[in-house]
Amino acid sequence: MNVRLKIFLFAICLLVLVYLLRKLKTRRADIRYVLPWLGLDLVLVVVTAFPGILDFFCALFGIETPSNMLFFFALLFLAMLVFSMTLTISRQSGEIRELTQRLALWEEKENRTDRKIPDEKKE
Amino acid sequence: MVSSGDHGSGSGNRGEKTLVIIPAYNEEKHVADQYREVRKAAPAYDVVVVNDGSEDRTLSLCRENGMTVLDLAVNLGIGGAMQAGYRYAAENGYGIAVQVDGDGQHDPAFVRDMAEKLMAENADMVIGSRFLARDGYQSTAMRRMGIRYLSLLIRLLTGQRITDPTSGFRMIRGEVIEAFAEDYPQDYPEPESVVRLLQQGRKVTEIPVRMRERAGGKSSIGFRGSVYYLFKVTAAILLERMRRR
Repeated sequence: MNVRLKIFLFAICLLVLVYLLRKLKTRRADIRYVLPWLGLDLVLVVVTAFPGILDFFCALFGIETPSNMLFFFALLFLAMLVFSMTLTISRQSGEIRELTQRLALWEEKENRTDRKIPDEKKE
Repeated sequence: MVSSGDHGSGSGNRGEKTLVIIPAYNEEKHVADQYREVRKAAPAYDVVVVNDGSEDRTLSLCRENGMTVLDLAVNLGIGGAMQAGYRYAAENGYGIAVQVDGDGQHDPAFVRDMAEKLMAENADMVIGSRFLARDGYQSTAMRRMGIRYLSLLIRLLTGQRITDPTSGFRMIRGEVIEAFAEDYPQDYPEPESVVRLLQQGRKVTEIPVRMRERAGGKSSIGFRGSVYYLFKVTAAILLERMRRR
């Protein structure tokens, strides 16, 4: 890996880090959902600093080129991340449903008691 | 559950509190008429309209006409809307609940026949089937094929013949109301809930009804999506079959 590429990769990692931190600071994203992305950024920094790590894992898994391995693990990581979002969405839609239904039932009850004691309210 | 062997004693439903649930999504044209028809057909029953986050005047029409309304702040779809209705039924001690769609497709005149059938057969669910008497609106040829297929699938899986598993015109009672209030299938609630009940060894039966062509509103299933719909329902039904043994 030549120096030019190294600097380029470090710059990208830094930009991503700044972007993530800004989203966290302005509360546009929750820390628990941003943590995996921060982790990814950190891994990229380490790999860029010590490319030898890639070769080591290539040999370990029997993958021919480091780029293939990167693509493979990137895909795996992204798939896991997206699926975890599927789980989050499923959970949250259940929560929204329950809240919506409870609110509707509560409002109906309120309306009913309001109708029953209209005089008390006037006093 | 006490068996209802007392057919001879006359009073059809033994004074069980009955709730008619009308789910309505953008039904300003029909909801008031449907409500009046229900009142006329079954004056002894209570009626609740579930406004499923309509964007039109459905809610204000209901309020103006003094109807009891469950107003869902966001659109949940038919599954979430019916579950809200069942929750209301369970919380307020109703022994029987019947779904009558707000688009005028279901003729409330049949509600009392359903109650009689429920009692006479001691069933847990009575479905109003448009195919038993082959009378009234029979749906499009394509839909009928889809329904036939679902019917066959249910028969293969449960051994029971349900001619109209997609019919939303259905009456349930007792424990089933509580169970549905707790957990009701969301995506394709009609066929899924039938499979769930059969799975649990509960009794599901049908009576012939005449359905009207949907006057307003839109079917929840578009033409293009119907093949995908069948695929998804199949998956949901198989999953339901796997879940409870």
